[in-house]
Formats: sequence, structure tokens, C-alpha cells
Amino acid sequence: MIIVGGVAFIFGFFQAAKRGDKINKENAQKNQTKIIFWHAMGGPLGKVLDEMIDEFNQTHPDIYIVPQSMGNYNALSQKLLASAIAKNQPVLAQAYEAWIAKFVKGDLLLPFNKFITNVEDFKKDFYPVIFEDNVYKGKLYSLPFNKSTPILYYNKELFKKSGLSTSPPQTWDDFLMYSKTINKKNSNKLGYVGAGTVSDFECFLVQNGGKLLSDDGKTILFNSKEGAEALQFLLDMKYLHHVADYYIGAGFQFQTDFITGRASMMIGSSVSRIYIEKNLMFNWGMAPLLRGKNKGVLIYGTNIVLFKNATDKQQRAAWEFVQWFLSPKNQAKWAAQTGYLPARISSLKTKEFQKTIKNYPGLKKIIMGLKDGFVDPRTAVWFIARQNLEQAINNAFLSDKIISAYKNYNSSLASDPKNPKLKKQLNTRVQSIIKEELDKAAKKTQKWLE
Amino acid sequence: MRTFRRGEKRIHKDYLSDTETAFLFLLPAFLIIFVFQIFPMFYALKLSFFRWDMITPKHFVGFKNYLNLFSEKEFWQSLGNTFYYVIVSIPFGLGLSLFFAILLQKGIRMLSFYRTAFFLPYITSMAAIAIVWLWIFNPNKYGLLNYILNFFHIEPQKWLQSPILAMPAVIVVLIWKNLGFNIIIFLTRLENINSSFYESAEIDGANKWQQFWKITFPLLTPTTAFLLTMSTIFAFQVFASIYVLTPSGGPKNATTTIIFYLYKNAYQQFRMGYASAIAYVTFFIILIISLIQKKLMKTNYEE
Amino acid sequence: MKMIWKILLHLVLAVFSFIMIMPFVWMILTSLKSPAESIEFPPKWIPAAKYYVSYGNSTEEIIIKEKGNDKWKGIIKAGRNRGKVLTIKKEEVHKKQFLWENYLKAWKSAPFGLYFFNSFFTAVVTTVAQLLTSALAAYAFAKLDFPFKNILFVILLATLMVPKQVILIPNYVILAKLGWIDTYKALTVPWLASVFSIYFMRQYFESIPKDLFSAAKIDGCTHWQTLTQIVIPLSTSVFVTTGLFTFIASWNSLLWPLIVTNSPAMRTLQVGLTVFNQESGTNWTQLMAASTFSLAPLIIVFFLAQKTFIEGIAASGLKE
Repeated sequence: MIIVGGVAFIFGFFQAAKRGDKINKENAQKNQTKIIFWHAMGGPLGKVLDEMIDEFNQTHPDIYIVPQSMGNYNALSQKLLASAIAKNQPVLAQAYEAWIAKFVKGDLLLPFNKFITNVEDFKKDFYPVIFEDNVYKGKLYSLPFNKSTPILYYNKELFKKSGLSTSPPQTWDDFLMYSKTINKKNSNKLGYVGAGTVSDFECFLVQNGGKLLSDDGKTILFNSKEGAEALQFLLDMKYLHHVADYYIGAGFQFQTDFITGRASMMIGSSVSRIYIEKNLMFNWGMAPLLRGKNKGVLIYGTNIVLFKNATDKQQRAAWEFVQWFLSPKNQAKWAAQTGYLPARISSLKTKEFQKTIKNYPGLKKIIMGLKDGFVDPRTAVWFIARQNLEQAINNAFLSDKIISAYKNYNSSLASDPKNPKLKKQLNTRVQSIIKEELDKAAKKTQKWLE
Repeated sequence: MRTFRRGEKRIHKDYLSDTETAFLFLLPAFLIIFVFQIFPMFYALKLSFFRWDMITPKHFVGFKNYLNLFSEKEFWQSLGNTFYYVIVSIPFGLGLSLFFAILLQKGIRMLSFYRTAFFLPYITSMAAIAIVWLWIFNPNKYGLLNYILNFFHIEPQKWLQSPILAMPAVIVVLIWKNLGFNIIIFLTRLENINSSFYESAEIDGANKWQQFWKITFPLLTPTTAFLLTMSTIFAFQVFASIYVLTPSGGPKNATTTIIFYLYKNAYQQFRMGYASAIAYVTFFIILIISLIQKKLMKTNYEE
Repeated sequence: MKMIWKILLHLVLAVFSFIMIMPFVWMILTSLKSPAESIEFPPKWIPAAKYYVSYGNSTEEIIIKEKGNDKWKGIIKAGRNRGKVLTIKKEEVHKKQFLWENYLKAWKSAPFGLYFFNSFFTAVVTTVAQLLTSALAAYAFAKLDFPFKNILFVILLATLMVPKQVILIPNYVILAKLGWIDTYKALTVPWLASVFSIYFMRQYFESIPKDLFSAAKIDGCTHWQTLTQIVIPLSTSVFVTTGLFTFIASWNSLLWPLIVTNSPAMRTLQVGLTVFNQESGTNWTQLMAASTFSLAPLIIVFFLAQKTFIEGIAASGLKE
């Protein structure tokens, strides 16, 4: 039996080795400029990327883009660092703004200005926030690659069943009202389920008129009254009105509540659509985030960079590809199949995208909302800031002091329902605890800015 | 041409001395280990005296990294978490492993199946298994543990999201995962204890319990010592599995171990010099503890 | 052994075996579920019976509303065509409970045949090499006398005490300078020796009675002969164990192959598995299927290895 197994194995290996050789040979074509592109997309998103790169390679026979997936962003970051040190970088790579800022500092990148004759013209068809996001020291060191924003997913059927309009809520007040109605009409259902993420908090903060960082980049500003109020709004939804639930530190688990219909609304990335829509068994919609005092939607995702140590030929070929990828038609295709948002304004007008909007009507408003978008500060310090913020938010959500503050309020209210002072006391108490946590996070982060 | 020194005959054979043989025998391993472990280790030591973000050139800061280290609250917290982990997981882990290793010796049927079952957690990848544990420890009432607690009228616990329960929960998972490894090492040794020892003991009237303490346990001492040393060294460096269970480091950093802290500094905050300093402080701590362990074991048992 | 003890033993082992393998059983069951079932909460253990029909270009899952004599009525469960009512012939409805095709889908989603080969090649080379280098070194430390013996051993142990995370970058640079990135050399050469294996074998060799060595020496054996003809035959179980651990460690290693390889042609199984687990979501059913078939060889290797333990080692015929 061992012999049979051994023979089978050996046979299998030679087959696999042959296939390996074939794949290796495919990469070695003469007269082609070979471009290695490191990214971190896998699964269905990676598939779309591979298909688009295939299409480019077919239509541009003198260029050969070789995509190499690093599995996830952590690994991609480690690889980019390692290759920077060993000086064997690829030609193109996907990168976060914080990494790009570092690469710019280390003079590793080639700005795309080299290939753009008129930057002002080029700039026109891009959403300003997204375009500026790629400008460092006055030059265009990167270009948008996979941008997405958090959006509101909502259960149209549950809305209808509860007597609400199937148009989504637009303001904080609407949001609360919808949630209360859902919960009232269906005692086992919630209005909103969330994960208390940093991105959620940043959006609510900005919507409440707050800021993350001062304009000169020197002072942390998220530990403001607006921040405390924003976080309290979310806490109120659960502990005061009992119309929301949160899965703190539990990844994508919160989405399950929305998928099973336990909660009528959730906030998730526009890309989540690709993963959950097959499982949604009810009529659902997508909408832009809420409006508080202001509009505020965080634009996240990575950009694409070109490394300086590529040869001249490689640089030009890389630019061909990036240009092609950023064309309105291809951006529309990319957006339609992945849930990422098209970086080009004119993508909206393409036929391809018109079809997508027909299938997902909420998408139009979401994309138009990109002009109210904001991005995270582009410093590596923001990585630490996010981690500290995450701690602060988790602490607030799980805080025994806060939970008992709400408990006391509820019991005091029962015996003294008309007392206006009680709510004020609750607000003060909860916000002071939240502020304490935010202050700690701010202080820990501020140290790095010096 | 050496002459054979011992014994009565003098044989003219080309024997290498002990030292020369040792040199040849050690060469292959040392070559690899020197290039890929020892040399990088010293490079990292050098790095710990620099400030380096891996992109811009490094600059020398002397002992500043170490001084900063000792004044960072998060460092002490992660060190404390690590000690907590080591002190709890090792006795339980080794104790349980020994217990099961004894049970899994010869004597009953289906031994292959049982042994494979105990070994399975060790070889299964954490990524695939984590989801199951996350469900077991799910903080709402449908999580498996809370579901069971419900039958005893105990309130659902927050488990991995509770600052108090997070580390114990992680410890349980890691003991479960590493049990197989320790069991196999114990088994390897147990299987080789000559059964005639037990037979003669039985003839002398010793029961199973006495046999264990007088024969098995003493003969296992070198293995136990080995496992204790190794487990301690590995336990101090626990990280990857914890990262999968609590990627954010746990509520209030409850499950942030020293290596987790190192990883954050090196790869998320680009502080490679500082991270190297953390590595060397960890190294010294492990070294001291290993030396203490060795001394204690020497005084308790004869070599 | 008395009957009652045997029964008790079986009971205890059975209960704990169940606890040990429960997550693994879950893994396999989940690999056979539909994507919707895999994210259900509270989760079900066993996948339910599901009904599928072809609709347009794809297969859709339906919920059966009416079962007529030859025509059934069903509603499409999810996705774009959610809610559409279909009347289909009974024969055209496929009932499935365990979705074995998840394994095929997972296999096809990346060049897993190639990954298997790479993992196996790396693991075998590493294991064989480590057994050789470790046996030699362990013998030297256990039985030979030479200057600096203790210092050298302490240095070896020290390498285990320095966290690997800070060794990663220097190693990468060394490999890059040698031009070995993205080759089999990078995957195997750094692991041709292991301090753990040396320490483990040394610990075992030291327990071999000294009389054997004295006898060998009197007979005029060189150390090489002593090693190959006496020590190794006595150490089968240690070799098997060390080989087992080395194979497993190599098979399961993720970070190292990830960092030192770039192209799909050089990727190993563990790296291949990351394709299912993305920032934006995880494909649970295929991840579980892929994890299961990645695990299978290890189980086989272990099963074969532990048979050596059961067969036992012939008594060495010595008195301690």
C-alpha cells in the first residue's frame, strides 16, 4: 500500500512541477516589459483584479503585468518594508497613505507627474478629496486604487412591515426614530447593529462637527465634546433606547444580525455588498451615511505607487497600466464588480455604470456623497491613533461605570419620570467617562506627534 | 596516524580525536544556524541601539530605546500578561499532557484513534479553528459556553471581551492546542521504559500509584525538565494564536503579550530599533528564568 | 488489565477525544454547508437539506412551497432574483444536503496542486535534512568532549530565546543578497537545522546507557560507527517524533513562505489558504474545505508515525 501511495505521490508531483514550470515560463516572454504588481486582494475581489489585468495584458501585448497577491494588508506591509531594506521592490504596489508618506520620506517613489503634462486638467475628473489624498509635497506620488466608504445597509421589508417609508433615514434623528419604530412594532428586532469600529466613530464625530487632527497636524482633536457626544449617541441607542446592539471586537460578526433580519440597519463598507448580498433573503437597500450637524463619510482603501528603482521602460509601462485602470470605463467596471467606488467622476455617465445603478439605486447618492468625504490623516502615527481610539471606544462600550450610569438613570426615571435634571445628569456622567477614555487615547497618540 | 590509547591492544587506525569529530559533526548544523539565526540575532542586538523606521536611514541612540521601554506603561502591562500566561498555562498544560500520555500508552484498543484525536488540535491551523472558538466564547447567549451556563442559571459571560476572562479563555485554547505536542514527547519516553521494571515492581507488591512515583516519574525527569524548559521558552513568546483570537490585543490590552507588543511596534508603528530592544529584554528575562529553572531542577533531582 | 479499568479508560479517553476533535468536526461540517448556513447564528452543526434548480446561467437555492404530483412550486431564496416564484418539474429540482462540491470549488480557486507540491517538497527536504544535522550535532553534545562545549550549547539555546520577529528582516536581506528570494532555496535552506531538534535528540541520546558506548569504544568503533550502528537504531522513536514535528512545522508555516516568496509558482499551501480570508470578508465554506484537505496529509503522516509507538521498540536488553 505504501508503494502504491508513493507512486501516486510521485506522479502527482511531476504533474504539479510541470504545471509550475508552465506558469514560470508564461512569465518569461521576450520583448515584453514585465511589471510586478504587489497587492493584497484575494477571494472574489482578487479575481476581478486578475481578470482586468488579463484584459490589459491581452490588449497591450508589449507589456506584461504580473500581479502577486500578498494575502492580506499586514503581510503586504511587511513585504514592502523588507523589500525596501533589501532593495528588491516590485514596480507597482498597493499601499496605504501612511505607508506612502513613509516611502516619500525615504525617497523610494516616483511621482506620476513625470507622465502628466497638465495636472490641472488631469485633476478635473477626480473627486477632490480622493485626488488630494494622493498629493505629497505638491507632487502626485500615488493614484487611487481601491477606495470605498462605509454606507448604510437597510432592510426595506422590515421598514415596510413597521409602517416606515422604504426610503432610508438621512439624519441622526431619523435614524433614532426609525430604530425606535422598528423595535416598537417588532419586539424581538433591533433598529441598528454595529461593531463600534473606529471608522464608525470617526464618521459620527465628523458628522457632529468634530475633527480628528488640527490642520497643522500637531494636535489631536478627536477627544472633543463633539467626540463624546457622538459616542454617547451610539451608546444611547443601546443602553437608553434599547434599539441597537454592538459586537465589540468581534470582526464581521455584527453583519450576521443584519443578514438574519434581527437588526434593520447596519453600517458597513460598500465592498461588503459583494460578500453579503448572496445571503440576504429580503428586499434591501444601500444609502449614504447620516447627516448630523454636517455630512461626514470616511473614504478608506489604498492607492497605487510606482517605485523609483524601476527602469525607464518599466515606468512607462506601469503608467500605461495605471492610466488604463483609471479610465472612466474601467473604473466603472471595477466599481460594479467589487463594490469599490469609481475614482473618476465621469464613470457615472458610462453605460456600464448606468446598468449598475439600475440594480443598486442607492449607489448614485452614495457616489455623489464622495464630495463630502474625508480621509484619515496621512501619517504613520494615525495607525497608533486608530489603535488607541479602538481601545478607548471598546472601553467605553464595555465600561461598567457607563452601564451602571444608564441603569441608575432608568431606575431613577421610573420613580421620577418628569424630572428633566435626570437626563442632564446622565449626559454629563456618560460624557465625562467617555471623554476620560478619549483623553487617554489622545494623550498616548499626541506623544508620537512630537 | 594516532594510536588507540585505551584497552590492551594498540591498533594503528586513523582515529579522529573527540574534538575533531565534534567539529565535523557540528559543522552542518552550525553553518545553517549561524547564518540564519546567530548572525541575524546579533544584527538585531545592534539595531536595538538605533532608531530605525526601516525606510529612512537609521541613527544611533545608545540606550535610549531601553530607557523608553522601561517607562512605557504598555510594556509593563504586556510583560505582566505574559507572566500570567506562562505561570498558568505551563503547569496545567504539562500536568494534563502527562496525565493523558499515561492513559494513551499500550493496553487498550483504538489507541491510534485516541492518539490522533489528541494530536489533531496541534496540527490544525489556528485560522480555521479560531472561528469555532470564537463561537464557543461568543458573548451573547447563543455562544456555546453561555448556552451551557444557561442551564445552570448563570448569566452569559463576555469571555474574550471581558478584561478579566479574556486571558483565561485564551489560555484554555492554547492548552487545548498544545496538548498533543507535549503528549507525544512524553509518550516517546514512556514507551521506552523497559517493562521489566514494572514487572519486577509488581512482583515486589507495588501498586500502580507506587509504580508511577517510584519508577515512571523519576525516569521521566529528563523529559519533564526538557519540556519545562522548552515550554517556558515558547510560552514567553506566544503571539500568533493570540493574534487570531483577539486581533486588537484584548479588552484593555488584557491579552497583549510581550511579543504582541513587539509586533505592533515593529510592523505597525515602524519602530524597528525599539522592537529589537523589546526582543532583547525578553531574551534576558527568558534566559534568567531558564537558568533559575535549571538550578531548581538540579537541586531537586540528581542528574 | 482488569475489565473495569479498561472500560473506565475508554470512557475518559472518549470524552476528552471528543472535546479535542470537536472544532475539527465543526470544520468539516462547515465545509459541507452553503455560504448562508456557514454564517448562521446560532450555528447549526449539520447542514440541512437544500433544494436547487437551474435558473438562467446559474443554480439558485429555493424554498419549496408546494409539492405537486409532477410540478413543484418554490421561491428563490436569496440574491438578485430573490423572491421569484418558480414552478418547475419535480425531476429538475436537486436536493442536496452535504455540498461536496465546495471541495472542488476550493481546489480550483487557486493552483492548489502546485501549492501541495511546494509544501510537500519543502517539508520533506527540511525533515530529512534536520534529522541528519540534528543527529550529528546531538551526538556531539551528548557523547563527545570538546572545548567550549557548554558555551556553544548555550548559544544554541539562546537563539530560541530571541523572538523570531526581529530576525525576519535580517534573514530577508540575507536571502535577497544571495538572490534566493522566490526560490526553493529560500524555503528550505534556513530550516535545514533546528536547535529544538538538536536539544530534543541530545536529551534522548544522553539517556542511552554509557556501557554501550564503552563497549563500542573497546571494539574499536569510530564515533560515526557508534552513531550509525548503535545510537540510531536505538532511537527510532525519537527520530520518528522529531521527523514528525519538523514535517508539521514546515507544513504549517505561514509567515516565512509568505515573506520569502512572491510568485504563485513558489507558494505553499498555508499561503494559498489566505486567499479565502480577506479584509472585507471570509469565504467560510471554501476556507474550511481547503483547510481540511491541507490538513489531511498531516493526519496521514501522524497516523503512520504513531504506529511506531504502538509497535514499541524492542527492549534494549540492558539493566539500568
